[in-house]
Amino acid sequence: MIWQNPWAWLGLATIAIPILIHLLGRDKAPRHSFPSLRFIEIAELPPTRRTRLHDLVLLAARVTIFALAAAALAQPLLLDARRRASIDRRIARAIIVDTSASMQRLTPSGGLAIDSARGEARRLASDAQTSVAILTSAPSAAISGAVEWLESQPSRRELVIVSDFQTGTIDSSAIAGVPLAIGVRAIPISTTDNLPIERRSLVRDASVVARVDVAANPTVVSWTIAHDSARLEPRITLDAKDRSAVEILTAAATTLGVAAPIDTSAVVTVVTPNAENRDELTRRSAPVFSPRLTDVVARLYADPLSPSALGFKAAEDTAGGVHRLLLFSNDSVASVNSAILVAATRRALSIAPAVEELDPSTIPTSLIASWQRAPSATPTRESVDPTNGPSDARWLWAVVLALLGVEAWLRREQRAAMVALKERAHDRAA
Amino acid sequence: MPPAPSSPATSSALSADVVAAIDDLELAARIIVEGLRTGGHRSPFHGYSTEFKQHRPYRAGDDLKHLDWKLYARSDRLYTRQYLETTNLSMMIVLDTSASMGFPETGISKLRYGAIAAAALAYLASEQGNAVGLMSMSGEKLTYVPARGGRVHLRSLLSRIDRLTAGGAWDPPRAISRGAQLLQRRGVVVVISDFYDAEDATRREIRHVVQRGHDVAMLQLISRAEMDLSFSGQVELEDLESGERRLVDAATANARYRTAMKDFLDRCRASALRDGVDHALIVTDMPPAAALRDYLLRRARRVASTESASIMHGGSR
Repeated sequence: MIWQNPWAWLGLATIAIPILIHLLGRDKAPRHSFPSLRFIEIAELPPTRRTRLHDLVLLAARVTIFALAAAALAQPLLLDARRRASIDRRIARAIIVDTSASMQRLTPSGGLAIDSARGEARRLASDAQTSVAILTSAPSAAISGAVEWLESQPSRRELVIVSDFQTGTIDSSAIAGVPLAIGVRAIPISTTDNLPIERRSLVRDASVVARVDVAANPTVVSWTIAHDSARLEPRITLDAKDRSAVEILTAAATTLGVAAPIDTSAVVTVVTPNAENRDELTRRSAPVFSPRLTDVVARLYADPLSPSALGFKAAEDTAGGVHRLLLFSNDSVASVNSAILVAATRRALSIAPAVEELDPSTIPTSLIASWQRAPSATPTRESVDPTNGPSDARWLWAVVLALLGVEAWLRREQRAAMVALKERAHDRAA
Repeated sequence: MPPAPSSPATSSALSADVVAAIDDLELAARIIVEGLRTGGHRSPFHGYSTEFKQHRPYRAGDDLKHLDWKLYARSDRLYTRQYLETTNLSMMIVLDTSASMGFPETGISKLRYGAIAAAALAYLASEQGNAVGLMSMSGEKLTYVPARGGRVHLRSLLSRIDRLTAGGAWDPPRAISRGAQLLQRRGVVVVISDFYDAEDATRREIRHVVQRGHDVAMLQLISRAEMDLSFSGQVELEDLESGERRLVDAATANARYRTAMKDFLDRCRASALRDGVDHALIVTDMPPAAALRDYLLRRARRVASTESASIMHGGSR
């Protein structure tokens, strides 16, 4: 049972009204002077009870009427199974779908993991009252934006992460930042190993395919850029077990100018301290929420060669209908940090599979299970749809009406009893 | 419990309400006394001193009880004893003015009835040359009018009686004792009260007064409304003297109250009888003249029987 208008319980104070009327309105016995009460004392006459039993019943009826009226005004709602199911459906869901390269693997059933993930996301979205789906290759970075959206929703809230939960996809610290009132659900998508990972993109007019063949040893990363008739196929052979070697080779490839395919659909601006339009861009900046840019930021933070110690702040500018990533830097344009930041940005913009994506191990199931929790169980007033028909107050009002009839009948009976008593006394005296 | 049956009221016996309505207490008293005289009742308030004065030859018409038979036996002549002039007795009226005497509050109160009775008795006694005084209480203080004779004194006494109001406490042993003390010689102490207060102490004091040689009369006044609880339903009764309030159901309380009241009145009568005290229970709806007549008749019979007993035993007491 929930009370949609709990302030109405202040009306319980009105039960003092029938009690006061009962105490003050009782028939006062007429007072007579008498020469001496001596003989009445001797006769040990007990005083009569002024409150007859049916007076108490009448008082109880009146007090109950006032109490039930206060309860009815408090708009009760009895939560039966049907209503509870309805309330459960009234949930806001933010669904983060992992679109990293590892999700290109196949599921045991034969379909692509990414397709399964999208299917799950669609199912969850249809089940919820309101939902938002965030497709990102960096689920961990998307959590803050998802939480911010959920906190603006009035109903019960749930964060769902659909991923293969490859090691590095997400960690406990990201989950710890989710408020306790928001539920967390992780939906792991099973994938098979040792299959190539491909990412396709259109870069200017060129069709770019970045492909990673994950084998036991060695791991081959290749990408193919096809433009008109030109075809560029740089290839780097890596030992996936030696991650540091992978990092060095990636940096070497960058510095040596090996062309790494860059997704130019993402617009990134590095805003240095002295930039003329820094203030204006600061005013226009908003949290990063578009999937592609979230992905870029995630890769930027994950880049081992550009630690967060660089001290930049990421934001999104949607002026003019174009989603632009703003990186507010504290370092001057000519500094080494700025160069590192730019290089890291280029790598983040690259559609080549990230190093982490080569790692086939997944987060332990027990850890994933420990993150999960249900959304806040007690439906809030906001979660109850006021347009879902009348509240249960109508039943209480019906009882109140019945009690009013009972009270009227009791009053009539009491009056008749008093008249009969007086007549009997009068006959006795006569 | 109804009072002792009274002799048939004469047409001159005005009802208590009518008598009470007479503002002039002296007039009311006179009316009552005239009514008593009309009935041919001798006042029992005459001295019964039997101090022998002299003999004189019997004349026709002399009361045979005053013939000296011994002298006749000796002298073969009839002589009538003559006594000293009948001594005027003193009467002290002790009138209860406590709050309970103010009941009932509508109609004739016990105090008003008592005042009328006291006035009538004072008038009767005074007309016969007796000294009459008054003892009452005002608050905690005893107030009294010394026993004197004469018309002027009577008027003053009646005026004082007329001004009495019911209220406050009442100390009957003290009032009766002091009243008897103020009588310079043996006399009559008439106590007019409901005798609710200090029942045992009052009885003891009356016994003392009798032992000191006075003649005591108890005129016990009760209103009809006190004979039973003539209320209906639940009532709150307030004691006129103590102010105590008690809530009772009249219907269920009545029987036990009547029994308690009857027991009290019986006790008063029995103790008066035992102590040789005149006792009259007067319900205040009786015409005062009729009530006093009954009392005076009984007293006269008692006085006469006392004198007869004295003669039978030969001579003065």
